[in-house]
Amino acid sequence: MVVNSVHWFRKCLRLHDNPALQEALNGANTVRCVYILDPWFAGAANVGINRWRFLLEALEDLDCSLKKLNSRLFVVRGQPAEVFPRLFKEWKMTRLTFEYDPEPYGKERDSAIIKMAQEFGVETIVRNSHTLYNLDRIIEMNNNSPPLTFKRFQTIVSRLELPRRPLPSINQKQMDKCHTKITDNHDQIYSIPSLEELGFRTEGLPPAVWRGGESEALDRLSKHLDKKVWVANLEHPRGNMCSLYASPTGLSPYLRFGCLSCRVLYYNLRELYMKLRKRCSPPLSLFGQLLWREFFYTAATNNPNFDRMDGNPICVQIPWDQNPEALAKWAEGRTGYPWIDAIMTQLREEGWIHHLARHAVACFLTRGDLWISWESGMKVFEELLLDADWSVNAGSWMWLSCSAFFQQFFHCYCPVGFGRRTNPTGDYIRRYIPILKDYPNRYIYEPWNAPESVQKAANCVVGVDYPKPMINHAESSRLNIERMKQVYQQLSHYRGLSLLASVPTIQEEAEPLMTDESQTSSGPDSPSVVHDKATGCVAAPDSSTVCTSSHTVLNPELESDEMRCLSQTPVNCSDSQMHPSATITSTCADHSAGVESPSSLVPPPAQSPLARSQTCTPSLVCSTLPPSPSPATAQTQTSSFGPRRKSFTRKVRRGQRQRGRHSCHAVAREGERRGEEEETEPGEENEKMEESVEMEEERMEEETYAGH
Amino acid sequence: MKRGLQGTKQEDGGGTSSGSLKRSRKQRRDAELDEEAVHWECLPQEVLLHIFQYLPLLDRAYASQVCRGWNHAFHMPELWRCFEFELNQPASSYLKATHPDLIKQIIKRHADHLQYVSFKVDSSRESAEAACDILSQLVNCSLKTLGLISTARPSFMELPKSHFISALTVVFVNSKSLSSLKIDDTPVDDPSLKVLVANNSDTLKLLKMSSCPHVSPAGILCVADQCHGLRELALNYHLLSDELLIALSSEKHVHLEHLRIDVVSENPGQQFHTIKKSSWDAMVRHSPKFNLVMYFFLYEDEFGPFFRDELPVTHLYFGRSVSKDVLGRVGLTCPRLVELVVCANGLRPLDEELIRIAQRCTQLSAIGLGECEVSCSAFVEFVKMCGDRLTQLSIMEEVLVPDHRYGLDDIHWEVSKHLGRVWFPDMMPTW
Repeated sequence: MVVNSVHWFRKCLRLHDNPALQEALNGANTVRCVYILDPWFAGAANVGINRWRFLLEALEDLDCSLKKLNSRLFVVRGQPAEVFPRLFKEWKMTRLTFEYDPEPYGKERDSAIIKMAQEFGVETIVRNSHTLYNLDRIIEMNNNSPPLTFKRFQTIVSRLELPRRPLPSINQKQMDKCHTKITDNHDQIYSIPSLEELGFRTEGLPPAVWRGGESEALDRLSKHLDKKVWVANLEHPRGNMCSLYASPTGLSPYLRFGCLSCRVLYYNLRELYMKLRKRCSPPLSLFGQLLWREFFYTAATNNPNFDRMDGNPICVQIPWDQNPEALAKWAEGRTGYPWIDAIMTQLREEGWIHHLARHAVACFLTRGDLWISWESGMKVFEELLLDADWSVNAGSWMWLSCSAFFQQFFHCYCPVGFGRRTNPTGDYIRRYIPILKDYPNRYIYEPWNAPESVQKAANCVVGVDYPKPMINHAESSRLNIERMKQVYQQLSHYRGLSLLASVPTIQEEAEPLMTDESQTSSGPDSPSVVHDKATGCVAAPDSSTVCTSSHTVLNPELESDEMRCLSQTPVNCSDSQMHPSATITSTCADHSAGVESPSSLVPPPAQSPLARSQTCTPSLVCSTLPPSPSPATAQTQTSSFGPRRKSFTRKVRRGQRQRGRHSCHAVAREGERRGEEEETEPGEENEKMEESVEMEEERMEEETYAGH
Repeated sequence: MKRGLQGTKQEDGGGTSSGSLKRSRKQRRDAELDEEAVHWECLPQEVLLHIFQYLPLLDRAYASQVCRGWNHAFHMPELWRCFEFELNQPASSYLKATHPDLIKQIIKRHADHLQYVSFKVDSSRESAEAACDILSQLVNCSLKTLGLISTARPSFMELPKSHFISALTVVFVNSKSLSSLKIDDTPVDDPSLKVLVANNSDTLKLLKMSSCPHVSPAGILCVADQCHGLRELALNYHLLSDELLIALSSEKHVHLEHLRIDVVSENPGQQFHTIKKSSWDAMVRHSPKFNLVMYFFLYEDEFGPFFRDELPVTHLYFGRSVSKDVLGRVGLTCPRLVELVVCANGLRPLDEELIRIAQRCTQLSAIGLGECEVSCSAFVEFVKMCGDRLTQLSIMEEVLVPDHRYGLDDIHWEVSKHLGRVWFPDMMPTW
């Protein structure tokens, strides 16, 4: 039987350690290497020119390497779902191979393609090579939920067998066996597009700081390993203050596009360490960056809402401000803080910034100063940052904005002090904001504080030639720390004075996770909200005040759903004929005619599948109504989110219990005197169901004595 | 329910020989339903109330549509004592707002039931205005607690002062029994505080008014003089005076439990006044267990007047950079310190300062360090001295400088050993 293979490149733009490509070659009569300009990536206006250039260079390098093996790269324009049926027939394909994509969008796309291939009788072979480990295995080992702290993740990884060894590059001999004739018009049909063809203007485009492609990646890898200083600092890469600039040994964009295999890097580091230290097993910290990447991939792989706050079970709901002007100032480097502006300029021009610089600008945009949602920042990074993986980008933004992963929020990077600490001379500022180049070191991070004479002497008057600072950092950090405290204290039910105790410590690294019995009691069919409420009461009876308070953000996800339903926009409400829920109201009205129904509480047409599943839960209201069929998406999400949300709740709770605080039934224990040390209320603002002044007085006592 | 009935009717309409059979089945079903309905209807109101208290508002709303009894229960005053108004504009917030119809209904039917009310307001001026509009309609209610909370920017500050004040004084005048008032970041002023005092002096226990620029030291002094039950107070340093501390420690005054001071500089190089040690001493004598929480948002060179004399601070937060010198003084002057958070410091290690704090601050149980440097050995020494009383230990990984004794890979063992529990430094992603 003739085997006609197509290997579909997406990420993993390389010939070395490419297991799926090896499968394509294995026993095949013909092999074609294909890249499809994926419109999700390509058509989106959200990808900047530097990222495009990097990709095209990587494709060119791939084509070049394939040419050396008497083959070519076929760049096919279109959408995969439209392109493949044509290719299946045209090329008489029998086998399709590609690298496993662990991200939710990719998984969905790939399963559609696999199904399509099946219909055409084309065998598909998928191999994992973008991550070190099998992510599902990590999740399985953490009791079927992704680890939410890096420590827990490391613990699990340390129990796993080593990653699979990298495979060698494909060679001439392999390729000869499945030689495919290249038609004369190949370059007309399958050439790599230019930036112009993609609609970018390239006049005056400075040369790329980061050159895409596998050859460059391998070159950098050897420099990376050779770098003596780096080797000396093998264990703790500290004091890298000078590395704010793009380094010729940087690898992150190459890992992002798969020009370099993470496993090749892993094993090279490992072997180098063992050679230098003569110890048998290197510490996990050696692989820091690789493991972070793996951590965020694991957290995201089953969470299609990982890149947003709404409907994201691991994301704390923070009342971010919407402020397009402030966002634009940040994104365009016009904040008036040279440290922030220099970083954003470097990002825009070069496509890469140091991780400390990422922390600085992310903190400034979100919890530090501007109080703008991390989602907006993530989108800007997605456009500009060469190494912005979907999972890593969203995950890091959540981490840095303290929206997930149980981060202490007290530590805000100062847009002046942090810069000065990182680059005391201010050379970095002078390079990216040349207008400030004549400022003395003393004022270069805070030019607005320079005396007028100094400003004039430096030919740059603040407010004229360079913007004034857009926000008073001292004032905004004062406000924002209060906001964060408010959010986290509600979340953790903490009401003491300690700032640090506001963030629940989760003990997942210390104790093994227990399987929750209640998890089995409610099957995947039960509506998500009911399911969660059940958890609220069943899993932690000691804190059932949760249930009395609709404002309690113990489970941020649940909170947002309720809020969404309780607070429809007036537009929707006035048009009650259109509502799915209006039907419920009128149905019920048959039975309770004359009873005033609080129609304003009836939920709006839901936007997200999760909300929809809640809206479609009439069993709570009229048990005899036939259950509305939830859309399939809602069903799947319900079943996959339920347990995880639960575990988040459980962890928060556990942290709470761990601190030895008791919550009690505010209502059930009405009239009972409570001990001074007891903490009852979910949040400072929620004096829920207090029945008497006496109770209220005690609450105040608790509030003040808490923290002791 | 509806569809079930319709279905049966249709069947009846096409009645055949088996019609009677079907009817009897239907009757039986109805009987079962009736039985159930009777059963649920008979739930005593107090039981219903108890159940309803555990249900979120939305579910209560659904339940209220079941029958008259449940609808009645929905409107029971007990369920409306506490309410949080969320006022957000779609253009400025990601979160949804309390529906205007619900607000209307509450004002119409439940205003006199409200006791514990808070307003969460986003960064838009419209939201703050809406909050004031609601406030000015709360004429018939007697609030016990009121919180005005800006969730993003301080939007109440954007309102005309008079507008805000007149809405707020409606509550002050009508409530007469306010015990807790949170009005941080609002344009409240001295005269309105006088109204507050005139109407609520017997009941006021908590007052939070950080960053209220229109209040003067005399205004807050008036509150402290009249409201002898005041136990919790939050304000900015510029309102703090010796007189205020003396007033709070007068014999007539209950023990103060919690004083929160925000130290913010309005303009660079600002000179801060000092508080006499004798005033603090009077406070500690009067309220030996009181917590003094201080948040500093100063430049390094503005710390001059602080930490010169003994200060009974319990929770200390340095939001901006603080010098080695000041931290050294903290160790000498803050014997009651419970929590210390340092967001940033220079490049020189804080070794001696931390060890001094461990020696002198024997109550210290929580510490957080951000952009600082401490040698691993000094840090281990610090933890060893504090031992397991350190319940919160949040140290950024970059803070710890490896030295000849400990590297980063083994420090967590050493620290865990002294703490008696597993401990790791806080990490930031290298990304």
